[in-house]
Amino acid sequence: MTRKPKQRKVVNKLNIVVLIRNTVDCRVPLLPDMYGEQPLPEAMASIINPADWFALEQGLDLRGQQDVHRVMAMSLGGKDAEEALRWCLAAGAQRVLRIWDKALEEADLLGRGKALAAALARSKPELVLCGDGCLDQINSALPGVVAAAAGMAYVPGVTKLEKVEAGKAIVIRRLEKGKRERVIIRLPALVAIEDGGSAPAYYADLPGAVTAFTVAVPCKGLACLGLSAERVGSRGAKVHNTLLRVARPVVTRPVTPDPGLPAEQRLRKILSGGIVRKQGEVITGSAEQLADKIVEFLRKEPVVRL
Amino acid sequence: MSSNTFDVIIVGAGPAGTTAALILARKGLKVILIERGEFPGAKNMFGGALFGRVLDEIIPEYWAKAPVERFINRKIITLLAEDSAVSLDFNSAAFKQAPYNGFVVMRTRFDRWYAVEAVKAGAVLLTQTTVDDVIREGNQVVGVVARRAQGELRAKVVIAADGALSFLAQKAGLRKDFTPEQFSLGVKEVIQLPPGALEERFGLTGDEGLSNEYLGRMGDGLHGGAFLYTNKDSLSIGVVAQAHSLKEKQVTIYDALEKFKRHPAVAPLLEGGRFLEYSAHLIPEAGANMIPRLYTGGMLVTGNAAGLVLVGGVFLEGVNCAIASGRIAAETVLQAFEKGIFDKRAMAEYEARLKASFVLRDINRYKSAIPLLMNKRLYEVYPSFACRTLENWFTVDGTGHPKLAGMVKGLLGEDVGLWQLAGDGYQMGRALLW
Repeated sequence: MTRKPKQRKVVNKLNIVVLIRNTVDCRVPLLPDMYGEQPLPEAMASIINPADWFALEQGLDLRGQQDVHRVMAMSLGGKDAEEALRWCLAAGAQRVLRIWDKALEEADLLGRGKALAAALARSKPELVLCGDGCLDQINSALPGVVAAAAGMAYVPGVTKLEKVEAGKAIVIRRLEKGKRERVIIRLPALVAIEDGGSAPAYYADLPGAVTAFTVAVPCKGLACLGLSAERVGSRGAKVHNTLLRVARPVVTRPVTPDPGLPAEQRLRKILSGGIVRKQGEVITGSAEQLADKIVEFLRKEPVVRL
Repeated sequence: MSSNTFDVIIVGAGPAGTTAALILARKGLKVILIERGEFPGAKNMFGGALFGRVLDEIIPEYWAKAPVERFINRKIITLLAEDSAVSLDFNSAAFKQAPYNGFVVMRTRFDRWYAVEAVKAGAVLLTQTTVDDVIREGNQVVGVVARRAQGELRAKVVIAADGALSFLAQKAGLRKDFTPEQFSLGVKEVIQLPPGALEERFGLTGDEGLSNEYLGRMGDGLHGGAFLYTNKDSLSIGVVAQAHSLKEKQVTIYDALEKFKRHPAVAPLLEGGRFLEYSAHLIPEAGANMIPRLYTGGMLVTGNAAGLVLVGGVFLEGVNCAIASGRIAAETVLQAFEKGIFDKRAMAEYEARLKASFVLRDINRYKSAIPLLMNKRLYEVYPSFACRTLENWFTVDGTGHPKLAGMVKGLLGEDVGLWQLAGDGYQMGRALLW
């Protein structure tokens, strides 16, 4: 009796991993301490990098439209990263994974990149997404390091994921002076997506949010990833942070004073370095108009996130 | 048990709600603590003093774990006139010892830390979620409706700890609409001082700190007070004004704060300071007169939501009352779970326990302080009278020092008669002395 060969089901579904970074919210001024040097710790609000959240939403959109198996959110960090991952779960990510180890506290960019690459090697995603850029700048370089350490293609500056299928993705990428190019990428690859600037589209429903904040968030340390603290931790770091200082005021280029002005006023304009003292403004109008003007002022300043 | 069913739902992760969550979670109940802000404490504000003996019973030696600024060993009460001030300065060695009488804390950090303690005990903390309504079945509250898709959550007991304006108590039909007379409005600035200035200006060493409460005319005739607390490297300074006086005098509270900051007794303390933070909050100040019904079947109201603030003239305490009421709510719920009964009669135990505790005993004991605080002469006459009396008495101008009684009589005659003074003295005595 000849046995009929068993039909193997071909699975073409994709696994997507979205890298989530927590960052200091640099959109509001960082207040210095009383010595005027280091930022006040309480002024450094930790938030999910907005571009990463946008990338997560792009990944979740693919889940509905394309041949996608699952979307997993991955983050390297402490308790802030855990909370960020819970919101990813609430928004619809099927799985989350936190990478953390005490030795990573003072790891440099290369060390953190290697740790994330090791985690990606175990998850074997076809497509890795993240935001293009990070509010705190230093972490902007992280995806490139991760891609290099994981041996993946790295495609930054992507404005749109046009098509994703098994083994291939087609994306639109921004070039200089407003040019765009369509790029075909052989997967696996790491695609950094520019923040679309839109309001978050995925607002978790209550059961999703409750579940996300009830389940345990899995966390892998260096030993689970087959890495050693000597290699990727503070001891292996080649770059060490020694000081964090707040920014100095931005100096604007002084304008050439109007030659028609008196000499004293011209001198004052030159000596001011172009810095103009801020003026108070009295606003008037109806309650609605006043509210609009106040919101506009706060948005321009910017002192609050609106 | 499904994911949208809990033993207890607590709305509001302030001191009252978090205390209840912490105690119930420690006992193994399935508890969810729902907070409207981005994180617990993100939108919470108070002057700055936490009197933490109650907290010490829940988290022993909390000061070693919590983000506290300084312990308070000096309490100063100042009467402010237009350009002078007279103070009573109390400095206690006992307040420097554990268990400290009180600490200055910043709510953004303290509430966050406290909520994490509840999470460590097993409570589920859900932030960025607003609760809009309660779910009723007959006379029993059986859950809440949150402002999210599929927003129903069910539980045996709901604890409303949603702050001074408690919309949940209103939705449950436990409180009436408020009037402006029941509230004060407080605004606060945090001002960072140059290195060493705090210790030098206030004579502080180590972790010593002080609270300074001011009474007098705030701004242009506002009825209220002001406060100053020493943080680690900064000052919390603010003004509290009765909401109705803001309306009557057509004065804004930020103008009152600016005027207070420019007062000759205050301005030198702020010299070289840099503005860090501005916040505002309503304070329920009508004492026993504004306490809503504290319970119904399946629901309890705690903390500021229940108006549990001690307004005693020289005391204005909310956080310790909130922590105590949260603990009593948790004890009531635990007893209800033991019996398996959550109806109105079971919840009535909460009010009985509150009445037996210092919370309602103090609020009732000092309820005669509320009319005193409505007495306009407390703000408009007596502080400036005290200052003028001392100014005249201490002035050395070659005319000699008159006896105090004659001078008092002379000065009093300008603003207030003897009978009025006697009446106010009696009112003050009833409020504070007997």
